[in-house]
Amino acid sequence: MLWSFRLELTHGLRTKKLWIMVAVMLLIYIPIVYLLKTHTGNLTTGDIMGTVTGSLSSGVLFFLGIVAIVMGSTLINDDIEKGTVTIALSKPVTRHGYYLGRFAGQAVAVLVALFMASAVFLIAMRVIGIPVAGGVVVQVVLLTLLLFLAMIQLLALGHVISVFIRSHLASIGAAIGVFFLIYLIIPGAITTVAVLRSLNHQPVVNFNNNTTTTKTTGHLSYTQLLEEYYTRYAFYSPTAQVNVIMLNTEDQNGYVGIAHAVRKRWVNLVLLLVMTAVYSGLALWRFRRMDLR
Amino acid sequence: MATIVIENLEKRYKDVKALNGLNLNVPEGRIYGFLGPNGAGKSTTIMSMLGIVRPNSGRIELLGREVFNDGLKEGNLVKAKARIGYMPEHATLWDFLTPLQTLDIIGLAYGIPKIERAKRARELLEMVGLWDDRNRKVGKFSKGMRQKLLLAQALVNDPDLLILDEPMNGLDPRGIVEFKEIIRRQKEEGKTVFFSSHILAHVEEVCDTVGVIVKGKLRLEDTIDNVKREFLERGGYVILVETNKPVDFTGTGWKVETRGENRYVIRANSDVREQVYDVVTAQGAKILQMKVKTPSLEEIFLKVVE
Repeated sequence: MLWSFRLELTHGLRTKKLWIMVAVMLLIYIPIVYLLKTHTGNLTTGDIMGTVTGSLSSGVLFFLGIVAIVMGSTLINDDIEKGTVTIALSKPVTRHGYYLGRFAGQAVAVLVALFMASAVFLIAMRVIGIPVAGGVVVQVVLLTLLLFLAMIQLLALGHVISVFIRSHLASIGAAIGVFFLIYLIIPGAITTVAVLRSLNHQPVVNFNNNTTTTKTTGHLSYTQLLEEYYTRYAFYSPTAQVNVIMLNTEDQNGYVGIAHAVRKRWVNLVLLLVMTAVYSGLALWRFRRMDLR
Repeated sequence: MATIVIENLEKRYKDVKALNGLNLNVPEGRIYGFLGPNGAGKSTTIMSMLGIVRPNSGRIELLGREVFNDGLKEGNLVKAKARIGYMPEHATLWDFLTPLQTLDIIGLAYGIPKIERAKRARELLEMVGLWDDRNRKVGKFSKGMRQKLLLAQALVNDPDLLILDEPMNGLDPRGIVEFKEIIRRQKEEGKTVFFSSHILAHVEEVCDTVGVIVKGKLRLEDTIDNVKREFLERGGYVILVETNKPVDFTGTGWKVETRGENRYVIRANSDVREQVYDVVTAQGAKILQMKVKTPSLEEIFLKVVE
């Protein structure tokens, strides 16, 4: 396992995908830094982090999510196409050790990319004169770790694709399709339902007499409904789970921090971890049974 | 002791039976040529041995360890693989690494200490003639250079069993000569080499034992000398006779071809030299010359495959 971890880490740190990831994050951070710069002087940790989490939950999750799932979706099939898997597995390594080592290597490479981009972001803020207090650093680190959990789940989801689709080009297409489904289409549908229900008039058409009645949803607000529905119906989508946690970084009093949001929405954090294990378990199960030629 | 034992191995790819009850026995210290036409199951056999493809049933024993018996025994396979070197037919190495890094990371897989890895990498790169290119990325290598590096990586652990799948594809004539020398050296050191190839001249020159696989089944397995002897006896005699009328071989059961005037090629199932002499002299003819036609491995191969 350690062997394939080292091999993958060496590969991961040299791959263009990693640098694309860093570049994407930095491109998203530029407008944030610019926005913060215009308000220099009276910024609190809450102001800074409110701006950062708002931008990250949309931009970074989208662009990095695509990169992560595509990275994952070529892990095994690309190896089979090139034949490097036959070299690797002719050595005294087990299949599960090989897969888990490579997964760990990819995960660390992603973590390095995320921390690199975050470090550049913090340095850039400091350079342009925004007060970077210890609180901001802690929040940025926690945010990076949260994003990392989402990214490794997307990697694992990509691995599932890579062990079921033998052509690496077809698997990239499938990965992008799956990503749009779990990032845009399903959350979009869920959001629509939440909006309708939060307006307290969910239309129910009665086809027998062609009339429409409404149902009430009790006391739940739009945000509460969204959180509940994302948790219940989009538990397999890491971006949806991160968004739920991000929604809780602020309350009526303003920014309360990522640790607070995670404590409040621990179920979503558990879902992130559990679904990562489920996806990687499925990929491993399939990989152990495959003919790798 | 046998280095490789395969019993009743079966492997199906959907509707295609790639291995159909294959039996194989490779004694220790031999250079074993594994022959067969395209699609006969050569690569599937090798990949089954290494656990890269999963056979459906049968038994495989490598270096005294049972690695498959109607199911994979991964612990035994990993231990056996620690003493095996493998050079695949169609493979690229990791393009982002240099030859030095490649051999270092492969050495790491075998648990070789760092200093020893560096020493071994140098030895092997010098042996295959890639030392001067040690810091170039493998992605920029020609096919021949990649083949050489593939051989080097197969030797990192100084294996007791070296498995080579079509190893000479892409090598220039000089590379082929060097390659054969390396294989011979393995034999001198008492190592076993399992060598799959379709270039029969190479097998004939390098191997001492051959196995011919056809449609997933072993059709022939013996030392090259025995195989040739057997096929020689079954094979042909060219005779030149002095006679006024054609010699009549009717009733002998031999296959006789007439080649020009007074020249015959006789094929029989056993050594029939004495009987040929009797038949010819009984008809008042005289044998001027009798030549034993030695079959090449290629002819034997074609006969077996047919």
